[in-house]
Amino acid sequence: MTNHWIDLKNSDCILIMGSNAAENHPISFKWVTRAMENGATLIHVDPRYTRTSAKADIYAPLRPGTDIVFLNGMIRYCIENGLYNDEYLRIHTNAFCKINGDLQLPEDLDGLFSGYDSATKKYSKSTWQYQLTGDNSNIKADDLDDPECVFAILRRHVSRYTPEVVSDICGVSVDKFLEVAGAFCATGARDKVATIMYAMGWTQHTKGVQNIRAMAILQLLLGNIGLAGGGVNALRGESNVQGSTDHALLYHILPGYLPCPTSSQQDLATWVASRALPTINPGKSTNYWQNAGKFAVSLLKDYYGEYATAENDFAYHYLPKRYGDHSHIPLFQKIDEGVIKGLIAFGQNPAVGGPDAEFERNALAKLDWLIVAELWETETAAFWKRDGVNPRDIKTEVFLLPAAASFEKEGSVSNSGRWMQWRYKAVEPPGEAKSDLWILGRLGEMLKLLYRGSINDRDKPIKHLSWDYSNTRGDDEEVEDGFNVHEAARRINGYFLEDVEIDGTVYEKGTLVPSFPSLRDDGLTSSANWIYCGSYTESGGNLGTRRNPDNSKDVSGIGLYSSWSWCWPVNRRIIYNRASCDANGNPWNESKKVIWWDGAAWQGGDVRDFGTSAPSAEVGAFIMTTEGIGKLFGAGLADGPLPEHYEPFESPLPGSGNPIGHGQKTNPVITVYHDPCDCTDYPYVCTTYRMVEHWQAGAMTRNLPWLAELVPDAFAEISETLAAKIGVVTGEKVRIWNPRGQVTVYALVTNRIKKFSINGREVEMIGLPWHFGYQGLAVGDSANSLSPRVGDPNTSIPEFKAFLVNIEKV
Amino acid sequence: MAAKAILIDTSKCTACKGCQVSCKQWNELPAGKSEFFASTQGYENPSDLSYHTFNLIKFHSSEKPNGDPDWLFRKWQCMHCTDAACVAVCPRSGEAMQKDPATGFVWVNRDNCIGCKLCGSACPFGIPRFPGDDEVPAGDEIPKAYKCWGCLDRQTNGEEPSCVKTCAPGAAVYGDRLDMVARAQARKLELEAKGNTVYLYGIDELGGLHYIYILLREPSFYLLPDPAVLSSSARRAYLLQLRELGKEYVKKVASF
Repeated sequence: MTNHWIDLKNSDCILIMGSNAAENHPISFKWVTRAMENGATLIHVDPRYTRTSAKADIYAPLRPGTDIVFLNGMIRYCIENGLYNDEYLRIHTNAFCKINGDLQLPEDLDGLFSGYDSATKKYSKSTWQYQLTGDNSNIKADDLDDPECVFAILRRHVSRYTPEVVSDICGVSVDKFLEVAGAFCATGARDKVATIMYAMGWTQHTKGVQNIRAMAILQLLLGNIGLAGGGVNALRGESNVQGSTDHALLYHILPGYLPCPTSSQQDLATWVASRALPTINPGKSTNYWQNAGKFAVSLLKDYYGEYATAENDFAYHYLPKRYGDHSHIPLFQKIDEGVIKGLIAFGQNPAVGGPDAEFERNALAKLDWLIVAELWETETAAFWKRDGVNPRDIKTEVFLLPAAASFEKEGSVSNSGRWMQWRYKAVEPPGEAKSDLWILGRLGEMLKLLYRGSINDRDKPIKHLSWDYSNTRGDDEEVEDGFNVHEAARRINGYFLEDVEIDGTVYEKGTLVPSFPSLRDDGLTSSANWIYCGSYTESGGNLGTRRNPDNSKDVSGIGLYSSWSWCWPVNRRIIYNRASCDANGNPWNESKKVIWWDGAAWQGGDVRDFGTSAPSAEVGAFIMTTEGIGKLFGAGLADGPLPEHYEPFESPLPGSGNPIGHGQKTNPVITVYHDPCDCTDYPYVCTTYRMVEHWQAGAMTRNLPWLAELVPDAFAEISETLAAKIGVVTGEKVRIWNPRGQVTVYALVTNRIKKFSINGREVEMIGLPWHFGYQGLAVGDSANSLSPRVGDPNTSIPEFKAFLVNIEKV
Repeated sequence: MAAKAILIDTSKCTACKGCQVSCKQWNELPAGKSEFFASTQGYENPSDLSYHTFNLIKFHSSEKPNGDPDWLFRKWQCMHCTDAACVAVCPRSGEAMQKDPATGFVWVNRDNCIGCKLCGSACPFGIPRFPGDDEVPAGDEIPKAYKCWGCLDRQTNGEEPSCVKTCAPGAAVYGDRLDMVARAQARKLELEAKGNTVYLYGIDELGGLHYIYILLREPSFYLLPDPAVLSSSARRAYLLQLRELGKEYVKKVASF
């Protein structure tokens, strides 16, 4: 989230799209409801009418996988009706910046942007770049009509997305679309603000990142980012998935969003340079990633301690180098091919949650060993004894480690709003169950023991790994077999490794670094995650434990609760908050002001995210971009500098054309692992989702009698028209299948799902909750037996939200 | 302690069922074997109140005038009537089924319940439930009456009932009954200003309920009795009780 949960209450208009927040983030409705009591409009755009829709002032349907059409239509509506905040555009975005004159758009190139190489299926981005002056500053257009400026390019790009086209492709009525666009775009007024709540409904597509970029563009146009009640807010799907992302439980990053080194980056400087890109608009752009080297070296000092020295590039060569896409889908491909021999599944249940789940279950049988650390014996742990397989045929050795649940261990949980909240152990784990720290800690210890006698250089990354977490401060820190979660938290924050003098203050060796601006690239500081540097300090202690709801410091009265827990970065509750003010530093909305310039200094309840300079210095609000301003157009993504609609990998529309009017039907840069289903044989769109009664792959809810009682069976939701066609009524069973698999589940016939009319063609949709599997109290066929192995070209997240199936009554 | 009430604002209820689960957790009620389609309302489950389900979210599907689906939710449990038929008809009224004098909530002391089931048939809302002969909980010798008791153990310790405590959107609010009535009336005006048709239920019904509802359709749409009336047996029991009270009163006066 750019903002945080409580901040939702400050909004004048809340768009929930790509999310069923009332069901999957129920606590969010505490604040959504608060906003509505204050007069906010709630809009829900979703393929299904859900419990969220039931609370909304406006509900609009759309066919799965057509969000960009809807959003580009809103961008067009905003521009053509002049509803954007023009001052915000001028000072906080790249609207006026000129782009390479050779840029061509999908309307020029039959669906492709300029630079596409059909052999490699990749874009060269040379024509997507800015026109720059000699000192690397943006060349700006005199007015927004200049055809080479970002605004004019965007305007031309979205001109095709008329309300009628939106209606034809999304299956929403023109009137309903205009009602949504009108309500949302009214917040372009200076004193109005809108927010967006999105989740997996946007990300799990072959153009997931572009869905979110489309929204970011719209929010920038309306001047809604950086403000209380605004922003672009990702609702994270698990209680600590924000924390796990921050700490890099992903293949492509290291802690603090440092990129994972690649095999072409053979020294520290090259790696750091890939993150610390040259500043555009020097003097006016903070370009905070210029400091990446300090964060990288401090990370290496945490990992390798005394073995990381200036002479050996701080042991950079110990870090594994990435040489390809190691995300979930190719990982299981490699398991299936026998390349990967062992797997640790930690709190993950791919036998239910993975795409093409039966493929993944079969792949598990090709492993030599599988370790599952879990609260229950999940489908993944029990894959070898599921129906239809003979355990005798499976050679994989499976270890099931009993893990402690959240209330059985101490540690931090970072919520969607980036708040790191410390939790205490309420009860001892049952039996032999252990905390994650203990399990991972012991695993590391055993590995070090295993390699202790090795004389091979290649084993030094393990031999030299700094694995001491036993340090304690005070009696209330529980050390379990040498592992102290407080010491882990302190190492995340970071230490001074020698006496260091900064601005006249001497920080002694062994004391905690107060905040990340003090981190260094000379090896004198450590920090296991720079964005959390400042969370555990000498002066404040463990700031995640703060439970002071006193809002006295909340000068602006907007619910920041800055003395409750701690959030990254530097306890800033609303990021890019400079953009909450106009060119003179005056808040767009006085009644919801975040920070403001009083004529001599910046004031406000939140931590500012740029220096102390006066508004006249024109330092940009967007400190993490190289250019210092928000990007309506950007060259960072693999699949284009602007969002363009492409059909899902499996589209219900026949032929090779894109309904937007060109010949590129699907995203041209996706990686294809198998053939798509054809809509002739599999005419129905299937979309998968969660419900409030269950959670994720179900282990934590389908094993609880009270929750199993609420929804005990797997089911499919279908429209009354589809039910009539296949002759099924609620409570009867249906078989849903495609070449990847089949499920047999109950039918729930409902008016909350309706067929779509797409370019005059009727498209039916089947809704399938994906929580179910063959273990636990509430069992049922897994929806992911049907989902394809295809993902977004930027993130590799699978396309769980739109694929093709067939259905019949059992 | 002034009379208490719980205000249910159905316009805010998201049917998350948090109250359903927290009720079972606080009152240590077991889950039952359920079937997803036992009720025709899909997501509604279990299909009915029971001796181990005191609180249930009801789902009501229909269609709006513009053709959009309409999906309304209502928390369902004992209404805690002022004129409580269950108390009136209970052969051991005041010892088994009884009103908490401080809060006005109605509870059953099962130590004194004789399992006659009169309360079940007298209740205008059909609330009290009894285990089957083969599922009598340990400690009970016979099937006895079970229902929501407003978490009186919490209320008497200054805590709100468990269902209210867990309600994220604030659809359930607990407080002095007069305050809850005032809030209901104010919220009605607020919702009407937004173009809703709003019905309040529980302010005057059966002498005033200790659950007050803000509804977005007429009460009968939510399967609530409208008007709420006592059954003839409950009325008769009431009259008998009044007669007994009257006798006592006459005796008292006569003894002066």
